[in-house]
Amino acid sequence: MRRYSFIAITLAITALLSATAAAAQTGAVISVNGIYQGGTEAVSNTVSFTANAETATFTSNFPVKSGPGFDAGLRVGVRGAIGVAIGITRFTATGNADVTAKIPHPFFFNQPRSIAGTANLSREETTTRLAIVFSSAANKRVQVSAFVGPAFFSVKQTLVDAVSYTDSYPYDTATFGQATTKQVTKSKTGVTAGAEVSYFFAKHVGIGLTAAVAKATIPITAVDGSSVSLSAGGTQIGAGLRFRF
Amino acid sequence: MRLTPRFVVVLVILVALAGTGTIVSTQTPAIDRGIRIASGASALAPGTSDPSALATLRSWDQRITDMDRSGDMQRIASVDDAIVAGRVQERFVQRHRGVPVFGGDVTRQLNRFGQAESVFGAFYPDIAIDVTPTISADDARARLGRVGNGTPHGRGEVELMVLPSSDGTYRLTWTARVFSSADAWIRRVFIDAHTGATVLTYNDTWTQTASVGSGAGVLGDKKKVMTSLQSGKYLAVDLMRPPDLRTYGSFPKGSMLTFDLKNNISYAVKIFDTASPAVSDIATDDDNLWTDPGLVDAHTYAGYTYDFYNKRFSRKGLDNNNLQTWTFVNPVRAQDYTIYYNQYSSLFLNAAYLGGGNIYYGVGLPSGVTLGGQQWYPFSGALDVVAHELTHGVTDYTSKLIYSGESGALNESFSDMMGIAVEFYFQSQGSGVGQADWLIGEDIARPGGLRSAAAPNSYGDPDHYSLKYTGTGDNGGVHTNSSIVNHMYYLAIIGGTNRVSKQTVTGVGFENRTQIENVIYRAFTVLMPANATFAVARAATIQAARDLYGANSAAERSITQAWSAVGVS
Repeated sequence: MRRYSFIAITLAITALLSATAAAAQTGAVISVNGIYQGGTEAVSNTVSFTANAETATFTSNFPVKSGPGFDAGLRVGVRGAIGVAIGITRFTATGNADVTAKIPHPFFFNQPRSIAGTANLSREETTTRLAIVFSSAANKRVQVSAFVGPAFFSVKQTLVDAVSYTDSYPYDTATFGQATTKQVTKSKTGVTAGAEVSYFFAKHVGIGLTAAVAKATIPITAVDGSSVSLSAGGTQIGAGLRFRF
Repeated sequence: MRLTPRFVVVLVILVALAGTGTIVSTQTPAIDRGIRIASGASALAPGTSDPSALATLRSWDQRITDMDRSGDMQRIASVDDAIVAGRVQERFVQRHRGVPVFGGDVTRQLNRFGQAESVFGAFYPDIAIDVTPTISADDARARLGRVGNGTPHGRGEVELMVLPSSDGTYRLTWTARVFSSADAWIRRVFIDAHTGATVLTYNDTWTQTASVGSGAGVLGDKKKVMTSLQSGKYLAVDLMRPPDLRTYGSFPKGSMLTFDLKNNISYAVKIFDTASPAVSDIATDDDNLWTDPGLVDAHTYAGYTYDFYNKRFSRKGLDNNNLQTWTFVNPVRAQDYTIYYNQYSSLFLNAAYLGGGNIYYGVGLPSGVTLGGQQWYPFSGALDVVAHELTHGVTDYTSKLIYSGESGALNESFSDMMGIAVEFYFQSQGSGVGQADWLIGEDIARPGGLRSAAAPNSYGDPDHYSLKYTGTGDNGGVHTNSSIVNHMYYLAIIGGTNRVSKQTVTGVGFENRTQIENVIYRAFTVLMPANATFAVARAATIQAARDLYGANSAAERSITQAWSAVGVS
């Protein structure tokens, strides 16, 4: 993740330095990228509930792993090197979450039985950004730009909602049954910054590389009312087509 | 009630399959637990604009109205819908010549214009039987009670009913819900109204769910209480042990019931005499947070003792077949000792196994009243005392040691030894209340307890066979002479020198005490005859040690030395 951040920052600085000597950029550029979102965030969620006249807990730990996504944007020159951009990024991740639980013994206080299993969870992030762009054209074919601005995150996160188990007399052990999940949707504004390099091999069509960082911390409410903090976004690198008008 | 929800579910599923506007004309209503009655014509017409469905709905609407007028249907409810404004919900039951038809039941939903929005239900259209019973209602009541092993219960009590059969015929029956005090279940029973033959019975106890409550025991220690939830109340009925041996039509075999005699001494004496408590005598609580310490301990410790026997010896209850265990508490108020103690001292300062899996516990003495320098608490407050009484039940179903003389002392000693073993199994080793030690009853007779296996002499009990009580009191000293055997048990585990014989015993060690526990259990439940003497007990325990651990094993040596040390050869 650090390497991706370094690339993004380097590109942004390069673009800004270039912009100081750049010619005015007008027109619009549409970008369509396949991206790879880096960084692994673990969504950890502990829920308490009452079982056998005592407090039981289960904890799920879902690693949101790096993976591919999709990005599209429109950049419009406003004045000189400055422009505005809007864009949307979509990222999804699915995988198994480790689920552990402590189920109180029906006969005795403070003698919980430990059980463990997995649950298939998913994360869907849709990020809409509005950014100010600093662009520079090295020549007619190569264009470098940097952008920064707010990012509006909409995150759908499945969380473990309940854990079922089986036990039988004398109840000294319990067996994990299954975990049921529930999708929680929450939105929050974060920030994004990045840079891209475009190469136009035709008058209106080109290719580009992009690197960006988009982040937001989103609190969501678990089934027992407790708050779970999600770290949405991450470092993104991508490549795709450019259409210039 | 189980019938109605399942009935509705069947219809709802058919709606989903049929789709809007489709009329489902037949279905098979079913009663839970696999008992089925005959198919009947039924109507279902969801609110719809489909002309065909609407026509059928109107047709059924009219039929119901007509049947209501003719008496084939009786409207038993008509209420404004609490959720959908303007709707009226009606419920009808089918009658044949005035006699209700079991399972004939229809609901109709009317809109604000008085038109049917939906009709659900079952109707049996072809009944043609006479409804004059041969058997009178009083006779039927007695017969139904016999079949259900109880008394017809609730409103209506005994009712004439047309019962559809699975072969498409109908029978005139007498029916009732019968409440059995023997097992606390309610059964729906049908008998033929002409012949009196039993036509159908099924368990009609609507809800009962195992539940876990909590409460503080006599020592003030909070513990979990196994209960059952029935009709909104928590009952001191332990359905958790053992769950895999449920017997249909009764409480699960092995379930523990605790009866609260509500301090009614004459009633308690009657119950002990007849062993026939009423279901209403089962202790109840509204919130599952139990506040009677004696009751909490009696109920909970009965479960612990079951667990000990099950885990240590794979034994399933007193009879090894999960006999239902009834525990009785609060036979008298402790503060009434001035009135009743002379006549009923055992209800204050004793606990007893009554036979058949029934045990009662004395209530002790009021706070501040001492006897023999000791404060006496409810007897169920001591785990070893509860295990002691329940072990009498084990003896009752195994060796049946005759409760007199040496066999009686062996009977008492087996209960003491297992009581001590249960304490060590569940409690931490120590010398205070609530801790495992070699005393009997130290938690309810404070300070000191009732007897000591380590030092019987300090309680005035014999610790050597030469000191055996030979009088006629106490059934020939069953409680007194048990101390000789108890001391043998202590020496076989811990070791030491007998005070009288000066013989030294090398015990197996506390950490290996399960060896001696296993030897004792095997000897007392498998090898011992009912009229065993101490000498027979010595031989049986040595044999058990050889059986389990081999000849000249540490267990055999310890047992042999211990018997010799207490003077039994």
